[in-house]
Amino acid sequence: MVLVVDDVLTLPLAFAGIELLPNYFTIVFNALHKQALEEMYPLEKIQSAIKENRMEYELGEISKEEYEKTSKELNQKLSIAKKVKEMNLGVRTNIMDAG
Amino acid sequence: MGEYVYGIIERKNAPKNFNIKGIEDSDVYTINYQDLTAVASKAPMKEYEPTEDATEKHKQVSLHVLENYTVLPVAFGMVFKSRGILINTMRKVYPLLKKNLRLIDNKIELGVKTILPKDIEVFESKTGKSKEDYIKTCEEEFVNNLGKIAVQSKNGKLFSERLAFNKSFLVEKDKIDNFSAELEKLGNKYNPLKIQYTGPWPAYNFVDIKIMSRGR
Repeated sequence: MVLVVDDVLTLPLAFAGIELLPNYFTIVFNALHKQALEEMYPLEKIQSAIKENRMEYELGEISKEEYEKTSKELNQKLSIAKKVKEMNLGVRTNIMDAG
Repeated sequence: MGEYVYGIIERKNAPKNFNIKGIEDSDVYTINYQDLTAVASKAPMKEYEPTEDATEKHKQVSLHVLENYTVLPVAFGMVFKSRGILINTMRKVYPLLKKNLRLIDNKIELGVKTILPKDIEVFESKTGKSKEDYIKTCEEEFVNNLGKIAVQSKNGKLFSERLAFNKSFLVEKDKIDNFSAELEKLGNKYNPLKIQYTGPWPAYNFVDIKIMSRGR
């Protein structure tokens, strides 16, 4: 995902004589970044996928190895999704620390 | 260390200790308030991640107690800072605990998930019906027949596109065999569906008591 934030965004505010806070762009960018991460790591979908994986294993449709591999991947994604959800836009969070 | 709670039971005939290990491999014992007792074990005060191992431990303790008692289930991860706080909480919600225990007395929860095959196109051509029509007919019959045996039913979340429906039933303990027999009949009739039948569980989906504890 490529984001282009240029001066056009600041023009109406500049004409209105409003001084922008130094971290204005950081806030805008962080909000967009958080939204992008939430789309990449949708919490509910990941939780559902964990249950579906378990269901397929219990039905004997996948092997224990397949189940454990998928489960590990999904739980890592879940940890990231939870961190993204709790992400405070004013604070830098290392989401890759999860899992 | 806090008091991790698994459920509430009637105090009458309840032992001081249960012969099972709980969360963090701690001993499981009872903490009394009036005629009720909480099934608990020592555990650190923290946010408990619902990992497979941890939820399995919670489940095993609940099922062990359920063998001999009606259990008012407590959600996974509920830990109280001290015995005193737990007893005080039980005192505050005592009427609600009694009411819910009466509601589920001598009853257990059974789960029924009906699952469509992976290949929906093959399924539809075999049955000659659209997936939606098939689910509608089958769900009506399941709800009608099983609902006659159960006291109540609740819909669960459809977490997979393959789930035709996901229901929990509150059933009297002495009707479990009837329920299982009826489900088997329905399963044979609608055999393109896979059925996942689980339980008996404490009645998690039929009690609604929210107690504020750490992180809640």
